[in-house]
Amino acid sequence: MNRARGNYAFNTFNYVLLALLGFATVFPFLNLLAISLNDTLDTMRGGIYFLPRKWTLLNYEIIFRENGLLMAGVRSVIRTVLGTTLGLFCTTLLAYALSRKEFFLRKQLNVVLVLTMYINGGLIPTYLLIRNLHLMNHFAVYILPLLISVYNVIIMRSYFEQLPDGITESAKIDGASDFQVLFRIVLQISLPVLSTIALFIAVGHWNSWFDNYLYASRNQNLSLLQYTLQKVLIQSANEIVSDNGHANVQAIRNNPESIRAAITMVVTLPILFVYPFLQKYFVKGITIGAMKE
Amino acid sequence: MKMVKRKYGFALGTSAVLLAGLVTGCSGNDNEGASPSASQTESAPASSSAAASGSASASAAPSQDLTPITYTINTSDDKLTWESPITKKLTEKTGVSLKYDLTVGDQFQKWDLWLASNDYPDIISLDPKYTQKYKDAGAIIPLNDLIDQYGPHIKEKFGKYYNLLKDKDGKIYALYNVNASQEASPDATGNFIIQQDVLKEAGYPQVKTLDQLYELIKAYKEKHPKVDGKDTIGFAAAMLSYTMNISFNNPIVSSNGWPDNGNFKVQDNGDVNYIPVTDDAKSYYKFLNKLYRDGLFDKEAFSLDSIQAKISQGRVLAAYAPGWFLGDSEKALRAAGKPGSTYAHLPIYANENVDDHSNAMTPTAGGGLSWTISAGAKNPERIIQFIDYLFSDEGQVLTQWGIESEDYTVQDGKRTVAEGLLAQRSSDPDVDYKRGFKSTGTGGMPWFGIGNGAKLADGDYATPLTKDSVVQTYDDTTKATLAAYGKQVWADFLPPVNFVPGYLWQLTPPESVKVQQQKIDDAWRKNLPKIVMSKSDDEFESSWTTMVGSIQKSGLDDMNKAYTQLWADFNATYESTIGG
Repeated sequence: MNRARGNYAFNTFNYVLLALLGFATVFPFLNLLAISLNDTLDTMRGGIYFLPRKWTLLNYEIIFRENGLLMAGVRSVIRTVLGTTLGLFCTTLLAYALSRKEFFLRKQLNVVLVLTMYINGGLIPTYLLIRNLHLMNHFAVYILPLLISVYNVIIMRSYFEQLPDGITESAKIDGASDFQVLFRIVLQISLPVLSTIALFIAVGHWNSWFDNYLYASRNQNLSLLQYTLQKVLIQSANEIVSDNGHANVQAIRNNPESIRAAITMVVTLPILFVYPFLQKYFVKGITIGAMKE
Repeated sequence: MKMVKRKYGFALGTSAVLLAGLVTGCSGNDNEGASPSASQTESAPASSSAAASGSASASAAPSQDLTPITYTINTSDDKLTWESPITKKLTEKTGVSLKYDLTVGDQFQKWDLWLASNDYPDIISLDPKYTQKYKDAGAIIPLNDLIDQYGPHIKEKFGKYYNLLKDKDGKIYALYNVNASQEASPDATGNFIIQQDVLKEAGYPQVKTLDQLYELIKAYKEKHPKVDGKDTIGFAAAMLSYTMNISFNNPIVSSNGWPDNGNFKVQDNGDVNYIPVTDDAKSYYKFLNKLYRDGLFDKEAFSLDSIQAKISQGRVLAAYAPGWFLGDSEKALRAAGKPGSTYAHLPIYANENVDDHSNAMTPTAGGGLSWTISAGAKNPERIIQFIDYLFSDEGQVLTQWGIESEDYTVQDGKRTVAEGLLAQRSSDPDVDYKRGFKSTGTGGMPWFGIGNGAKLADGDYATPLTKDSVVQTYDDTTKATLAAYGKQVWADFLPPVNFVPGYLWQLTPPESVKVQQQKIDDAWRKNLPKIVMSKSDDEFESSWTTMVGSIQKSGLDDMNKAYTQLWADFNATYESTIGG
């Protein structure tokens, strides 16, 4: 009796807490959605929470009016797919080599790689390096420098290291080559880490705009989605400042706040849609791993 | 063997890159680097004067070279385009087209990268600090000879202020606009704002002092404690980042009638003092404290809220807010059908006897972005010819008024903005981009305009922004308020223009007191809320003493001294250049 009541109280408390937490996570998003769909001048007056007060699609219209947005989106998708595939492949090869105890340069290479996590060349030398490699204003600049992320390599290496040695040894005894061991055996039971790393890489590629700004801003045909949207946002913020106090412009401009809200929707929704599918994959990957062990 | 060779080559390449990074990193950082960069600067003028003399024979003939040529120029404005009627006309007249090189985001970073990699546009639009950096690295060329040869209109428009363009070494590196106007721009306004309904209800009284302002908002709030169910805010302010200066420093400047020198007051003897610890600051904070104790001061002033939402709700009766600080909130009020809640923009003073010198103007627009010409630009004389055309009367009319019969009409020798353009301006915010009125980096006005209110040789205004055009943009409420005071525009409330050589905030702050300055600003930010929210006179006094004490401890004297020196140096240079 007492115990049941205690359980009940605990459950109630739990549900309330989780509900509040869930609300705190979802609310900013819903709020931005409402703002993105609300009239820009009305938004300035504050008090928009869940529902727009003066419904409009103008904020989205302004974003989609930007020239070349569609092509920029296509380029972003190509970059993400290509970058993730190649990145995952290279990360796997390096991580696997580093996880093998018989690899003679293992220790040294580990040190070299970890060093790059703490020490980097700085902005200007990196810029000059990219320039001297003739990667400026070239699509390869989106892919090549990001092929290897040491952080990802270390995660994957640790995963490979905790796999039982017996698996690879028995495969070797059965006459499998190193590549066969990696692709036929190790990777088959490493889906959880592969999908996690793939997600890291993909989100990184999808969100990246800085390399576009630094290395490829002079070639309009290389503009990516995030960079293009960044341009729209900064432009709208600049205009608000430069217009005010000038009697010339009487027409109403859209507030950066509204545009920011709409942009957030445009860039997060694709990821939001992809996530559930990948999550299913996570669970599957984990179960496969468990069964093998 | 082959393998080894390749490795070696790779190592060499890497070290070369590192070395290049080191070298450029050094020259980029070295502001005063006289010796290493001197040779570079020396060589630049040599090559440019060679180019100049090469084409000198061509320009001896009356017709100027109109062969099409394209120059690149940097901008942070994504909407600039050369595909507009006005810019096409510019190409027709000069042969020059500009191609915009867009820098989104942190342009300073981009400028550093360009300098490090010797990869910049032909015309580089830079601020004064980077102009020095680029000059020291030999990346931009001096323009004196080119202007002597190809820039008669530049010289004519600058007139006696021409020498102000010169750098310490006597050479001109950057071009920006000159202000030929003798009056304040007709769209200038005072910086205190009062809701027009407040004035109307009180029968449009004269509001000259802070005390009068206090009485007005007190009376109005008693009658109208709520606006749409929310508390009326007598006097609003904001504290987030730089807005603190607007709410708690600048009103002290304006209400005492000083020219705006940022956080500093320049005394007649040349001494420079940090404003927040002056007696003038104390009496302004006393005024805010009085408002606070009567429940008239914005309760959220010290939160991170922006002032614009409150204003757009129509709850704020008065505040200190320059026009640009209001954003679109007045438009929002009009859209919500509350024109009475929009503002009168007035100068208001600490007391009756303030002699107002705050309406100051500098003779040139130095201090902002300006045009420099890169050492790599081909035929720099074509760029100067292009700029010279912009400075000519014909160029001024084209860039400020537009194309005759499309953008403006002429009647009895006077230009008037065409109805069509006015209509477009009230419906399409981008019309000025589409027509080509917008440019980048030419100082305070687009395309080196010579100022609103200035006149050209034909006797007519150089720009379309006149009193009449400003009045056209007012709504009926504003017109009624102005009529009640017998004025036409808000600028009519301002005192006559006062010419000053420059402002302290335009100068590069002294590096030596950077740390002290940060500490002092922190101490000010930390202590101010207590002062304004004091519950009694004693508390006010003690909080004030605490703040002054902690600011003095943070190195106030050092900072004041450094700024006094900076100001003295600037004035000495000004006097010597304008004389010579």
